[in-house]
Amino acid sequence: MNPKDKFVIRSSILELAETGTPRNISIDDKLRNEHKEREIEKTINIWDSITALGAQLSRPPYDPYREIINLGISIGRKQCLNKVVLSMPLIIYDNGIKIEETSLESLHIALDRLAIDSNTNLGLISENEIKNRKFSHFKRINKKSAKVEDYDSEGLVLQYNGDKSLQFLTDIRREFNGPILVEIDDDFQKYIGPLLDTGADGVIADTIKITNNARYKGKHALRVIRDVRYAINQYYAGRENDGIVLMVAGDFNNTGRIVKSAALGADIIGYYTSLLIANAANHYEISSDIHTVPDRICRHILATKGELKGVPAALGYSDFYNLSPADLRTSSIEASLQADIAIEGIDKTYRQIIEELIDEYAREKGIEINKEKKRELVVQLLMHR
Amino acid sequence: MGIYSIDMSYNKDILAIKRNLLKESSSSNLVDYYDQSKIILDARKAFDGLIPYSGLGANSTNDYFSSIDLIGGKLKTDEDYSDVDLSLEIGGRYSNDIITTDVPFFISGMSYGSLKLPAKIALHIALNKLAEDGIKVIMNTGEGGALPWEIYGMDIENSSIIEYTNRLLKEHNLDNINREQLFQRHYPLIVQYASGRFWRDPNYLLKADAIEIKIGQGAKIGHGGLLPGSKVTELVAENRGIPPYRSAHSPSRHLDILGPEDLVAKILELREVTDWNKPIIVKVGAARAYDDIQIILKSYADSASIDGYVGGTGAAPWEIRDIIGINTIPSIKLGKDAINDYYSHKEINEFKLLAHGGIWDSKRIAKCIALGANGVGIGTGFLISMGCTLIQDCYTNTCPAGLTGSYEKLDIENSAKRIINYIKGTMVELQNIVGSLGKKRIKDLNKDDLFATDELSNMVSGLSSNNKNYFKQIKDKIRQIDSHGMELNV
Repeated sequence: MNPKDKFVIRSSILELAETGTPRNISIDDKLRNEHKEREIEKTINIWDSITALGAQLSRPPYDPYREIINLGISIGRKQCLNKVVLSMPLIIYDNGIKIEETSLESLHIALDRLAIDSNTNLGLISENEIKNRKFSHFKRINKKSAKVEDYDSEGLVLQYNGDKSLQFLTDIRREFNGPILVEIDDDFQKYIGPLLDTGADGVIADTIKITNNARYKGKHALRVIRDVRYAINQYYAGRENDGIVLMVAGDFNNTGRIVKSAALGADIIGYYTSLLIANAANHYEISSDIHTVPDRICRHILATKGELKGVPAALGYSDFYNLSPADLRTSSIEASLQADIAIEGIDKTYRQIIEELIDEYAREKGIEINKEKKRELVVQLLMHR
Repeated sequence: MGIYSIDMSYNKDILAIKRNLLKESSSSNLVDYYDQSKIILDARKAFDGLIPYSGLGANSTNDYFSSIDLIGGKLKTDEDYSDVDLSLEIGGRYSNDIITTDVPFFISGMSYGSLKLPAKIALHIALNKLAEDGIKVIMNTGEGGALPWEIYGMDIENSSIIEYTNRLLKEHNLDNINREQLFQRHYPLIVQYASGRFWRDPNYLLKADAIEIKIGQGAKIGHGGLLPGSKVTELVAENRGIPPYRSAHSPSRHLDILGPEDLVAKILELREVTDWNKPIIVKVGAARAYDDIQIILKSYADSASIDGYVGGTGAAPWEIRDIIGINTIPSIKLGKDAINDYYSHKEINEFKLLAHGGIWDSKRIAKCIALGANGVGIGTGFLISMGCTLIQDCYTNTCPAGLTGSYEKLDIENSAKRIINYIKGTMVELQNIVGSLGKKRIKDLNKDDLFATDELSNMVSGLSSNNKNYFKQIKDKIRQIDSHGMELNV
């Protein structure tokens, strides 16, 4: 609620409270007029229009203060000998932004401190060499190294770059026993099968990069997550998933977005808000020192960890990774179309509503519409919305 | 997870972090992707390592109230509609007693601790005065237990309760208050039976007019109650039977109600304790509303209360408040669907659906009732009447209006007067709305009195019988495509 709306609501109630006599106009009419006057269009932030279904009577909630809620995740498929176990579904991901030296150092200290003092192992993706660390490092590599010792991290990250990436992955897989994650682009549907066949332990979808590319131009990050997860599920159709992880990165900078992404199919979230905090603290003249900044990052991560335990518990799960799209509802048709999320109050996606109306029409007309025609009709109806 | 409270007043440090975060995000390419309203949350986490709380309700992107309207219905008219019946009855489905009130709205659960004592006294005095004027309005205690004057009269003999009352009033410099006036209650009282079981006396249940089993509330669905340690003063702690100055996290679920059968057992237990006299309400936060109301219908409850996720609170973890639950309008629709399905083969329907969450004035009350609610609870509206500025810092001890904390003094007399005005004004507006729609009773409002102004509101509210039916429009489009030679039939 914006301050202007708050003012309208408050002044309207106060008018009643002060006079005790009927007003000329209701809160809703006043808000409508106000929005018209300020020419506010009803644009909705898709992220904010999605909520999760809390547990009440039909499913009891867990209690994050008294019961164990699992946030831990293991990275590495069957073929990976040295799996990496993270304490929560976050990997610090630099998103291609150059971080200054002092901030990086603060971050390393913070991640070490979290691992030692708070038993919280987080991952970090970076191309730098990091010595004497206690946390899990995923090193970005661009080309095959001559020496195996260069792969001195717990995991590796490489960017998919055409068919030669598959050969590259095959070569590294022979020499490296830790998990290998591959950053994919908007063409992922074409190569995700061969990529997983070659031995990738996980895929990274940077939703900002992908939605800037032609195939996903104008689409939302939610659509990317849904589509990548769908492609992975298709790969495993009829088989048991042997531990592939989907990491998503982009604008996932608060607990709400982390949870919603996880419910749509992400296993790990690339997170970089703490880097901002580290930077911010470095600008603070008085208390900016190498001890204060990591402290702030640690506190931030631990508070986030608490929130990440609280949400699945409130949804009736003792395991963060049990969240599913069925736990989500939306108050936006756009969100429903982008990620197949059911609309609140009717518990169906917009697409399902359209399909049901087509079926109803067919019943009324006494005709039979085959699957292909139905799909075509749905596309037409959605296009003409 | 930090469960102990700390001083909630932020120093220069957090302001500096916030300022620098803004500088960082606006100076980099992150600005497009970073929601600046969330920056303060990051700064708070980095400052104290605790989960950030907030007060009042969630910031919903679309509560549908503005996109659903009544077909007619005026707040102000020249006609006299004072004979329009606004009464609400709760109970009688299984209970021997029935609560009858003169308005279809009531004061939602706001407990002592969450609200400061002067605010609680102002509400108590206002409802007593209204009852003297012949207008009975229900008060819900909230989960923190009742205050002595809410359950006892002047004839109280228990010395420890007298002594507690004296300390309560002394701490708030209310020694001079007229005890005889205070120890009267002429309005119906609903007491909450929540997972924390906060009360100092079993009479809490026996002396009430109805019992509400609180499974959850809209602002923190599935999370349990929460009162930050800074607000758990010694007297609040004593009233709740908990240690002082430590955050009170009541369990997220009743330890003895894990499912439908347990709910039946609990209600039967309470029925026995109260001799089947007291109406029993079950309150849930709005999520799987259809399923939850179905379960309540099949228990021995008289009524269900559903709280949309915009429903207010004294304190809730910010993220839980904003991302869990559904809005009030769709929750009423789902609740009503569940009731209609249950009663489709039965003649008598004595079950009552009460709705909460973002309902602030007569028009919103009328919309909820037309959609299928029998009554509505209001919380924030009463707080605003008393001076709430909506800054949402109810979880701290820094409420500028002196309602939820701080040493700001609340003018009890003036606050009571404003509450009375708010109730009376809303009552007259409701009578005008119902009367100008040509009806004699608010119970006669139904979906035909409403229309939706957009496709989504049409769908979520189930206003399918209306002229502006978007389902019908979609079907017309199918017909159009079909007639343009798409050869649908195979």
